[in-house]
Amino acid sequence: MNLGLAVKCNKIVKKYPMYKGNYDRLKGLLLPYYHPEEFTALNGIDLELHKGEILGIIGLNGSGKSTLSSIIAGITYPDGGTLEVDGEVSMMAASAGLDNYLTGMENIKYKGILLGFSKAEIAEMTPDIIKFADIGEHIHMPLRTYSSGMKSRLGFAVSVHMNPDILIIDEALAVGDNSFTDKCMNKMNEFKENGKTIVFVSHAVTQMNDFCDRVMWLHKGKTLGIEKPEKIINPYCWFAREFNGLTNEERSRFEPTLQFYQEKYL
Amino acid sequence: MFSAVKTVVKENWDNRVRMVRLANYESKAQNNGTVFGFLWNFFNPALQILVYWFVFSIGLQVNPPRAGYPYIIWMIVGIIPWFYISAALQQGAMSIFGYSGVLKKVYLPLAIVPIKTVFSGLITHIWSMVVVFVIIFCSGNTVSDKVYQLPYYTFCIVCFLIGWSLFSSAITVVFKDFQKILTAVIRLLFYISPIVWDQGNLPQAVQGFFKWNPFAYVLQGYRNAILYGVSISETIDTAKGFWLLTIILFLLGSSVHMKFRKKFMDLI
Repeated sequence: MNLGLAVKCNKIVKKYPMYKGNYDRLKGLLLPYYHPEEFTALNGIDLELHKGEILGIIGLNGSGKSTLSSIIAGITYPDGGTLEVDGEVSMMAASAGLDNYLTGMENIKYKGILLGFSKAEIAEMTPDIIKFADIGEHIHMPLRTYSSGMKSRLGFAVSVHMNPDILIIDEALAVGDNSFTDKCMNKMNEFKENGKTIVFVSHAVTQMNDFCDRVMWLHKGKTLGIEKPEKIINPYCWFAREFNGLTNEERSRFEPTLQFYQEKYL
Repeated sequence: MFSAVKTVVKENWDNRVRMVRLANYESKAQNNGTVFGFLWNFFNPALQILVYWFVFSIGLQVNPPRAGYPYIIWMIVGIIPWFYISAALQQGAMSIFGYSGVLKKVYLPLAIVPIKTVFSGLITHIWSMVVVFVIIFCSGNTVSDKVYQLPYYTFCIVCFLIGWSLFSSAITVVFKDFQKILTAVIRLLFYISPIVWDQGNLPQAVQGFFKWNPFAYVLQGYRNAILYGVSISETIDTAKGFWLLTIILFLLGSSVHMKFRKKFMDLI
């Protein structure tokens, strides 16, 4: 892989078989020539992500954003194409990998162990995590008593302090309040200055505009474009508005292009 | 097949520290949120032992198969490893399916997931065995001079369970009914293994059939080492069957695990 590249996706394809019931699933897995209908979540994604870059991924629900982030994180395997990743990846979805029945403190320890940190390393990062999450005495309470905002604060604090090379944030900041979101943005800028890579999946277009170096627009598993935020976000917003006004049948036939919306709205 | 074994072994060896620490953490975390915590690992078995002792020794008047030890001591030495085995059979099968919350969010080398459940159970088992020895000595009984051979039988259990968890965790993901079948089979195994009753009086033909039960070998082994002073070398015939089965299970388990691992995340 080229020096300076953190992630390189080459024609990534991901298909999910749509099994009709449990018997169908068993047949699909055991019989080599039985192929159920498939849903194509990703259809040939190319992506080169540089170290120290912040990439935004934008798209409607079901466009493949989360599938792509989970493939980059090494959690899901692609069905086609190749993926090269240089460095440790950490994915942070809202309350990622946190256990509802453990307290905040226990969760910090558990996540640390999961990611393979030693006892001393975990002890060293714990005060920083507590300080950053800033949820007071609740840190000693089980997570199931937390509000969604508090979970997200702890989840983010844990993820950033475990110090991955590539951080994927999958719609995890949506529930935080403004002051916390600002704090997260500062932290991510610090990340960026240290040459870390961030993939930022979100519907918060303003944040994305301020913060990302490039934005990728996904639609039905295909890339419509990867460009600077100001060239993508406005066209995307107009597209989303138009798309919402369509009937289901019109939507399935609708083939948007970036160029069309750029010419119309920029 | 051998590349599958190689991957499974390598992933576990490379992540051995992480795997053991996870196992250790989970053996403690099982009782999180309860007041008595780790002690529950002892209360529950104690209560079960009390019930079986009452039914079999007081009620049915089952005699200990050999003179020298009371029924309860004979039974505890067999039932404690069975508690480990039966729990690990279930937990091994559920290890990937039941861990989806973590696996879908955090990258983990998948081969360590089934195997860590074996070790998390082992930690509890070792503490239970400490209690067994305390009971033996406090009740005025003694152990045999072959007790140093006990770790071999524990090793046997661990090896068998490793193959089993690799195999069963993959099957459970694909075929969820497996879990239900397993519950029934474990209940059956409890009665056909030499746990609460002795099989020495059965007809030869039935005994020959029961010989293939891998758990009979290790449970009897626990008693041979702790109580009877029968050496490993005296049961080499049964050992061959046990190890053959264990090796087949491990090879099969590794292959099935590697065959389905790319689909695990889409199915759990």
